[in-house]
Amino acid sequence: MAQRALVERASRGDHDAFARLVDPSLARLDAVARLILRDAELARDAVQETLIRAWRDLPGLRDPDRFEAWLQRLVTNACLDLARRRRRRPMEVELTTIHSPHGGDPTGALADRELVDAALRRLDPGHRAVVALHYLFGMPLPAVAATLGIPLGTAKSRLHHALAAMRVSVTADSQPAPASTSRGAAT
Amino acid sequence: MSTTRIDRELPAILDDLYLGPSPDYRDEVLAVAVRRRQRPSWTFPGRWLPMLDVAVRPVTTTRPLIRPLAVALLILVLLLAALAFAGSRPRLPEPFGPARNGLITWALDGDIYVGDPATGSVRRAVAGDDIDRNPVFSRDGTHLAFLRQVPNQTGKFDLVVTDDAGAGARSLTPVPVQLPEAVEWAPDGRSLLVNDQNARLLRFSLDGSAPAVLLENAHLQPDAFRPPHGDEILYARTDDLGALYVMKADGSEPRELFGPRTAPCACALAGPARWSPDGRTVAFSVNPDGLQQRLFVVGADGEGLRQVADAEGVWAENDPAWSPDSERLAFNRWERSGAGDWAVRPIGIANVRGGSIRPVGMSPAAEGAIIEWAPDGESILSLPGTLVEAFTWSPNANGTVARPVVIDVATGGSRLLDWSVGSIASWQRLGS
Repeated sequence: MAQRALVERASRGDHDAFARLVDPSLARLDAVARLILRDAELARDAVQETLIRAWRDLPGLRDPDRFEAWLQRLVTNACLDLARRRRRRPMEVELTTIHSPHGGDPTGALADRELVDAALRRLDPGHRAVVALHYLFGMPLPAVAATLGIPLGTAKSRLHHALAAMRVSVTADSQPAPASTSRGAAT
Repeated sequence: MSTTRIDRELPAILDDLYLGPSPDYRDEVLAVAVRRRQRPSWTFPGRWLPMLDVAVRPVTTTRPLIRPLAVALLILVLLLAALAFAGSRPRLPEPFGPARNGLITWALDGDIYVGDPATGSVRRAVAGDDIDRNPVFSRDGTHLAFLRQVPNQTGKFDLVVTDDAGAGARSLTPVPVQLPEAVEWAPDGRSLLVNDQNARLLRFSLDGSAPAVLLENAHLQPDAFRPPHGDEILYARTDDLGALYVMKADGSEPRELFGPRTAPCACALAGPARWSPDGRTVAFSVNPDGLQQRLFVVGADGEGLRQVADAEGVWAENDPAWSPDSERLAFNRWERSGAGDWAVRPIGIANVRGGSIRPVGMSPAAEGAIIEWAPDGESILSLPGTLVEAFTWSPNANGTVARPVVIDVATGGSRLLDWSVGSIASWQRLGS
């Protein structure tokens, strides 16, 4: 069934239509929430909040074709809201199991992902939100700016900053550690 | 990895890192979402005011007579919509009496949780570094109040209020409270009473006005505000143990409701007292013979003291909890054996007009149960009594973590909820 029809049915209170409508997006909503919040439990809370709002306010959605973008905006706002409330809570990182890497040297690919992940951890939620929207949702930067309610220039600068931080982090972290001298001469 | 590779491969790397199959909580979050009421489409102005279209369409001149008519019609439509919207909003429950069941709230490991006993779903409502405990819903179900430990100040707590979802936390205590022992919402939801360690009765208002000390040397009773308007408060005095008092909500005109000196029996107050939800009666336990504790009720004017039910044997009956319709009392029971031991028995339910006591549910812990009636009166939430003993001493009440039991009042059957609860719990009341 077309998305438009599902939106219309769900907005009239059809639970099954709502489930079918959000099902294709759930994994990516969860991914974005975990990237921004870096806490699986909070990410679940954010997705739940997103679905509650989506269900409640669906009858107010004027253009059914905008459902996907609307859902993306809801989850981003829910994440940033939770991040603000979380304040100084220690981060609990739970990553998706890393499956077979994309070709090439498996060890190297795994290391790449770990370095990127470590770099993301050092960014604040606002910067991670830009990365998530741009790379996980595939939004062009003007749409990222509109979703976050920030000027386009700010979105560009946040993405630039995020990428720069990742480059620095990856470059620094991927250098081999200096050999210890305390163990005496190498064999 | 080269920096150009980062830019090129980042989408795939992020997919690998974060994108998995549909999350395992899918069914639960969907069920929680669709239980909410949808907003009618006409309550969204954008659905019937074509604002965007108006903004981009060229302005056309209308004839002078039509324009005022159109404006008047629009105003009329807006008025009708506003009236209809006000009428369609969920009604808040009355502060006392039967209501629709909402969520249950509790604390665990310093965070506040809410759960739906119908589906078993659970959500963390308030998280953070702070140690929060003992949440209580306001009587209209729209707010939560809980205690927040002040960092590095042993025994000091702030009283924090949020909306029913745990958002918008704000402290009502300009100066922290020392080891609060009880927190009670006023029926109108505009203030709370707190009993501190020094037996002072403090009132904190949501409007930000200065806290007031209502009374000293007082022990606030559970459900202390007299229904339906909360114009009287039920308390006991530290310097007159065994008696029960009532005063006006502003702390004036204290009077003795029950006491050993005036009681028609050689007996004294032996446990917490509660107003019935209709405000006509108070239930409490007395020790009629120095050995037993039996459940009694007395009228709001102090007259008509009588025992609720007289079970054969030697019993300790305590912790009465009124059904929302004021017809029944649920309470803890211990039976004394021939050897002199007190053995806990299942929660008893008695009709306040008389009749036998009906045991319901499985036997609680040896300390008895914390009994919380469901707002609709059809079930009872039971938690181990140990959870209340350390109201503020530790995040999980001296390490106790319990699974709550929901008891069906009609059948007496028990259902164990798969939740970890580390505090007292409170059941949200909803309107029709």
